[in-house]
Amino acid sequence: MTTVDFLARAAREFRRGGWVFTGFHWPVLAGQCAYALDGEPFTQVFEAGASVHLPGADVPTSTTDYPAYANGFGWLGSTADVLLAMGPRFDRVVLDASNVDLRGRINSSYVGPRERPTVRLPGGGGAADIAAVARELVLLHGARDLRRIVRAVEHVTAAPAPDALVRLHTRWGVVRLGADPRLEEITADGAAFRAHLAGLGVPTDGAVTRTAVTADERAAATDVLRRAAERGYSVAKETDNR
Amino acid sequence: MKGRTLAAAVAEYVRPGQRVYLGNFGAQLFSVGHEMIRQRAHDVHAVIASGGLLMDQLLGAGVLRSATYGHCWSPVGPAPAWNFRRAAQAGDTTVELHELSLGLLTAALTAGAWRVPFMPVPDVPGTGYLDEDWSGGRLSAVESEFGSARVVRAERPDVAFVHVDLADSDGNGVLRGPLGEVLVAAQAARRTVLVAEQVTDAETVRAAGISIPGLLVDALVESPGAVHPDGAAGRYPRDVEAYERYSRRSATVEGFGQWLTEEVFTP
Repeated sequence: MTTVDFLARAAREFRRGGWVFTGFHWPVLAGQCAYALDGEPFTQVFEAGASVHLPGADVPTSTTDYPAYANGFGWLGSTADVLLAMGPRFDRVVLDASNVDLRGRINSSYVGPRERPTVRLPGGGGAADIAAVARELVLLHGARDLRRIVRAVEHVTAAPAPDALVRLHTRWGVVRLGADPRLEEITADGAAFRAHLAGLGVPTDGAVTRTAVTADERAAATDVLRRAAERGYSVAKETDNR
Repeated sequence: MKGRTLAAAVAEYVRPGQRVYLGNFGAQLFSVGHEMIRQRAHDVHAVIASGGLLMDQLLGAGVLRSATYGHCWSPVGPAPAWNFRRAAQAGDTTVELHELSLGLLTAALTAGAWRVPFMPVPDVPGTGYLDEDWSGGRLSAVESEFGSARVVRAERPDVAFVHVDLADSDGNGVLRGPLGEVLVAAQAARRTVLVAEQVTDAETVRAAGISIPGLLVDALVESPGAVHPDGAAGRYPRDVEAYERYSRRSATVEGFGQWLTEEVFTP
C-alpha cells in the first residue's frame, strides 16, 4: 500500500467524529487529511493542553507547532488536564507506533540493552499516560518493515489497559491487538504481512480484503503529503509515496 | 519587578548544582539555553519536560549534570537528538538521565508547587518507567487508610525560565498557546524568570488574559525571538530549515561543534 493510501485510511479514524487525542507524526498528518474530507465533526486534543477543530494554517510539524494551528485553537489547558484528567473521556486515542507488539504495547525508548542500547529512541512523552487510560486506542504504524511488529517488545514505553479496544493500522492491513489478537483487514498485497502475523501466532483466517480508497481520499492525502514535505516530514519526502 | 537582560538573568540565576526548569512545552527557550552555553554553565540539573533539541544542545555542550525529561528528539522530521543518542549508545553515564512520562513529570512539579513530598498519580503498569526504573528512583507506591497509589517524587526547581508572549512591568505574563506544565513549574520553582517576546503596558496584558501572574515572577526579561527556531503563535513560525540544519550538522560530533561555533558563539 502506498503512503497516500495508508494516510487516507488512517484519516477515517478521525472522520468517525468525536474527541480524538492526537499523538505526534502520523496522527497529525491523518488529522489534517480528515479535515479535507466528509465525515462526522471531530475535535483534536494535543498533550500540551489544546483542542483544535480546524486544519492548521500550515501542516503542523508536530503537536507542539502552535503557530501552525493557532487558527484552530478551541480550549486551552495544561498537560495534566489532558494526560491525567481527561484521558478516559476521549472517544479515541490515536498514536504513532513504529515498534509495537501483539498486546498493543509500544516501544519508543530503546533497542537493545538499556545500559548501552543499539539505538536510543526518543522516549515516550505522554504516551504511557494516555495509553494506560484510553478506551479505544488506534495505533498507526507507517513503517515498511514488518519486523517492527513483534510478539513482545523489548522495552515497554506505553501499554494499553487490558480491556481497551486496540487496533493497529499498517500498510498491509488492520490488526486487533490485546488479549485476543487477530487480523481484521488485509490489502491485496498483504500476503507477507499475513504470513508474518501467522508466524507470531495471530489468527488471520477471518480477515476481510480492504476496499480501495476513493479518489477524494487519495487527493486529500496526496495534498497533505505534498504540504508535509515542505514542513520537514521525512515520510512525505520519500519518492515512492504515490 | 526588576527587568534584566537575558545574559544578566542567566548569570544571576543559573549556578552549578542548581535545578533549572526550562520551558516551554513546544516553545523551548533556546535563547536561554544558548546563553547558558555561552556563559559556560556547567553541572546544571535540567528539568525540561519536552526535552527536544534544547536538551540535546545542552547535553552536547557539556552544560548538564542531570536531566529530568519526558523525551528528547527533533519534532521536525521527526529526527533523532544526536547528542542524546550518542551518549546513550556509548554507555555514557556522566549525565544522569531521569525519564518520566509527561503526565508524571507534570504531577511531580505539581507536588513541588504544593510543597508536598510526592503526588499520587494514575499508574502506568507494565512500562519501563516502573519495571526498569527509567525515572531513576522518582516513582514509588504508598499505602494509606484511603487506599494505595503510585506516587511521584516532588520536583522543585531552584529556578524556572518561562516563556510568554506578552508581559507587563509587574511580571504578569500572557501565553498564546496551551499551558503545558509551565504554570505549575513557575509555582514549584523557588525563583521564576519570565522571558517575554514583548513587554507592554498592564492594560494590554490584562485585556489579553494573564496566564502567569506576576506574584510568581522574580525577574523579567524582554527577548524577542526567544524560542526560535521554535515558533511563537501570532509572531513567528517554527523554523523548519533551522531544525533540519541542526539535525544534519549534529549528526556528528564535529558537525555539532561547528554548529555551536557558528550559531551559538558567533555574535
